[in-house]
Amino acid sequence: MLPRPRWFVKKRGSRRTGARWAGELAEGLLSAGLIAAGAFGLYWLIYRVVSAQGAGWWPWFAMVIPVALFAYGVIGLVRMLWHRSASTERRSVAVRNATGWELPGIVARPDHPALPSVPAIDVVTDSPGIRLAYRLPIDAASGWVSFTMAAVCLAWNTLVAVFVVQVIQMHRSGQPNWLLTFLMVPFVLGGIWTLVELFRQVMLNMAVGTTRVEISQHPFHPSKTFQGIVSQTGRLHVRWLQVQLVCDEQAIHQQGTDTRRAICRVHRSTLFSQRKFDITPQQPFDATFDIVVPDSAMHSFVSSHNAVMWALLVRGRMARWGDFERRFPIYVYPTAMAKTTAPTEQLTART
Amino acid sequence: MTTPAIRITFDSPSAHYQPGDRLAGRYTVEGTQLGLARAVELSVLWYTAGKGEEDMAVHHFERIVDEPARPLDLRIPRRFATVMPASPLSYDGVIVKVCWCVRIRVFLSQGQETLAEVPFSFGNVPPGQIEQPVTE
Repeated sequence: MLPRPRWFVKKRGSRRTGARWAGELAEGLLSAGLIAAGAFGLYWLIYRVVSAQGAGWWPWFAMVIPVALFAYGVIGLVRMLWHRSASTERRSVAVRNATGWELPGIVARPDHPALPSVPAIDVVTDSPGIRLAYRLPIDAASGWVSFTMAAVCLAWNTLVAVFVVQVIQMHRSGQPNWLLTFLMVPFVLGGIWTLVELFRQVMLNMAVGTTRVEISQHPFHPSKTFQGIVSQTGRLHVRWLQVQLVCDEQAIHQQGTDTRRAICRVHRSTLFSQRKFDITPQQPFDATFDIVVPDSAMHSFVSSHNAVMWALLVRGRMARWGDFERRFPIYVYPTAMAKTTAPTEQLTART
Repeated sequence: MTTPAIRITFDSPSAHYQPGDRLAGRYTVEGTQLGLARAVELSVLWYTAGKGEEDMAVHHFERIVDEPARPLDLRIPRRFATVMPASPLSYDGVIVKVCWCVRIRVFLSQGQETLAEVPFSFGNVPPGQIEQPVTE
């Protein structure tokens, strides 16, 4: 029995709500329709317009549309046939084999271990430290906060300014629109709030100064101890400063048509903590600490939608500026294999 | 037509492996006749479970096709073996889980397919415990 079609239903991520064959049939018909539309468009442009006198150049540019439709349909059809003819595992192996080629000009670095689904450490080990082996790069997300705030502030206040200028012109011309004037008040207050927050963020970045974290070795391994140094510049009266080792699980999932990211902290240990001290531009704050990776630690892991991420967090509370937090990603690798690894093919039983 | 039963057994009774270990076992498909199965695929793979979308990767893959010269008789136990990689280890986290399994997929002659999988443990990572509530 055919399922009752539901026209108004919220999409549930990648899960199906109907029969598989019906979805494949609909997908195939859509792709075939796109191919037919693209082919007809190309035929019409080539034989009806291009051959006509004085058609100019626009038909050649307009061919982008049917070509795109045709290509989109062909790709969709090939993809559907490939999904139908090959199992998930077989497709995964094909993708792995296709992406496993060694590209010319890219030299593998034998001193850097490459493990499946474990992120490479090059981003950390490329930056040498002053006192210890490596200087950790700061997480780019903190820089994006300032950039996003600046972009929002600029866009919002530009729009508000356009309306404010019009309202002022109405008042000056003797035709005031009091409804629009009062409606503008919350928007202007919102614009002022974005300016204040942006100013505060910029001042916070300037006042707190640079945070530098160095480590003695990388990658980290469970149940091992490593050395670290934190250095903080600025002109600050610090209420407290901490360095924490944290591990977060990250899952990207679909909710309706939205893509969401959930984060859950599964490990947090304080490696260093100090209360009430001053930092001056002449004398930056320096402290050493031990990084103890727990024996039970899951190694760093990354796949398309899931990740286990380790990081060192430098957190503090300043007398005038409030709290701040800076994140330095690190990578925990599984304990090194003691056994010799033989090629899979040699050990695979063939019957 | 009854669905054939796929039986997968590991050589190691504990089904617990470490990086570099040799994973070996055998499989049979009961309830099939000669010529009933077109092909069979064996995969040693990991996949993620939990809150996020599922990711998967195949570590070891074999596909055996029914050929006139070599008829596919799945009633005879077939062996498989592979050396486990260094990562990713099995992990039972709060919102991210990494699960390893051996999966057998049988393609029957009438276009149908059936599959079975047996999980196994890889590594010694204990389950993750929540330290701070989930944020989105």
